[in-house]
Amino acid sequence: MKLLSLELKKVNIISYCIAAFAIFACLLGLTYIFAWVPSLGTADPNAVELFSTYSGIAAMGGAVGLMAVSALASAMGYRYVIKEYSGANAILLFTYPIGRKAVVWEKIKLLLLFVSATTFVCTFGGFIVFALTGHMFSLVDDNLQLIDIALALRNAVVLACLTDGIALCSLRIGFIRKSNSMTVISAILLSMLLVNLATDINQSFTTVFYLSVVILVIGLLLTFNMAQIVENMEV
Amino acid sequence: MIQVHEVIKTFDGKEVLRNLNLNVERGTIYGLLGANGAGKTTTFKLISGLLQPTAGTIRFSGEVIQTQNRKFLKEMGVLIETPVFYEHLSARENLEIHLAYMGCDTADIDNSLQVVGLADTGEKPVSKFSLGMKQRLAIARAISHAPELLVLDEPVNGLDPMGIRQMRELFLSLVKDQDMTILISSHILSEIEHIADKVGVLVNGHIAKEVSMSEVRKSCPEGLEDYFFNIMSGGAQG
Repeated sequence: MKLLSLELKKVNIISYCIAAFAIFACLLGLTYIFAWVPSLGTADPNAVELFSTYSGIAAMGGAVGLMAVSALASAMGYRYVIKEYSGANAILLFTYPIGRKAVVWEKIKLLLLFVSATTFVCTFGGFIVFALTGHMFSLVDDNLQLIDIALALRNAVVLACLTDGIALCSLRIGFIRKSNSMTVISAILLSMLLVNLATDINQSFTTVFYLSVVILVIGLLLTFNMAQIVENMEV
Repeated sequence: MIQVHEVIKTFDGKEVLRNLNLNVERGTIYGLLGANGAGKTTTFKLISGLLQPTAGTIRFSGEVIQTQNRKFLKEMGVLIETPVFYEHLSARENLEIHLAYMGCDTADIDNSLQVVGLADTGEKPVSKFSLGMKQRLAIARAISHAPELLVLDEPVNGLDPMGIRQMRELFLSLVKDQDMTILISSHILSEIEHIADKVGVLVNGHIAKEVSMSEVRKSCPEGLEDYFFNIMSGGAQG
């Protein structure tokens, strides 16, 4: 706990909170645009279902949120994990009488807490704001029911796990060359591969759920590997 | 305090340090001299546990230094290469974090900032510090937890002449009043001449000469600079 509080003190988290808020605002705006799509007129029944129901709109918002938060997570992961093990930053960290692996894991905990919270707030929080206003002003040709909120909550939790897994995997990839661009690009590519599934989360929940577990486990295993590398690193 | 015994260090098959032997006694200042690329920073990193020797041993207070067992770092204050800080935080906050990692009380922060001349920086973030101020803060960080040994790689880089003199007085007082041991390198040989009890001259990864300053003065009245150049050109005196 003490190491975690030290990591929090070192992190200039305000800028990332601002970025998270920007994602929330953009996602919310996008959600209103999704609700507006059916009024453009389309014969495609899939599009009608996707954009005319609260659950469909929540799924679309979740998918976009997945990509946006993954990019933010990778940028933050680079700055607060990978960069700390480059050059003079590593010298500073390695001259402390504390376990190197312990420090890695505290950084990862902080990153995952932030990423999970951001994903949850941006997807579920955004949906709640939209749902309440949509219900008040009849923006959607659908009745808001408790099941829609429950589904959005369930999906947000799974998407949070998925984003965490993507963050961890991209972190390990970026750690190979300690490169910011490699970290961010790998996060974007991974999230692009998964975004189609995420839009279909209501119909393919089991698949998305198991995939998120697998990706999270892979991410954790890669993090174990990274921690071991840090343990034996020479600077 | 520090015994480096037959240390070899290779990087990608290239020998950077070969059969390095040096001894730093407790309560003294040891100046490690050498040209660029001689292996001074590598030596400091080995002593700080940042690198592992390819062969040989390094002992600190009788215990062999191992990267995996880091408790010895609590007794070391290290300043190697360009110091880095948490730039959005103030000098005091940086030291608080340092002391928290060291498991020490934060009570002496004011004194540490005072002795390096940064007592008036207040809440100013380190990002707004000059190079000299950052160097002073790095020294404050190295001494703030009252270590037994200071490992200082060119600590007066970027300091003005007054700052250099202040640091000289600080290092001498740390040894005299707190029985600290200092291992220091600098290209400003006059500074080493003022403070060191013993010097070691590193040539091509090997200590070509290890001698007390009194012997240097006896054998080379012109001073440490001439003595150093004599060693480098292969004509060792004394």
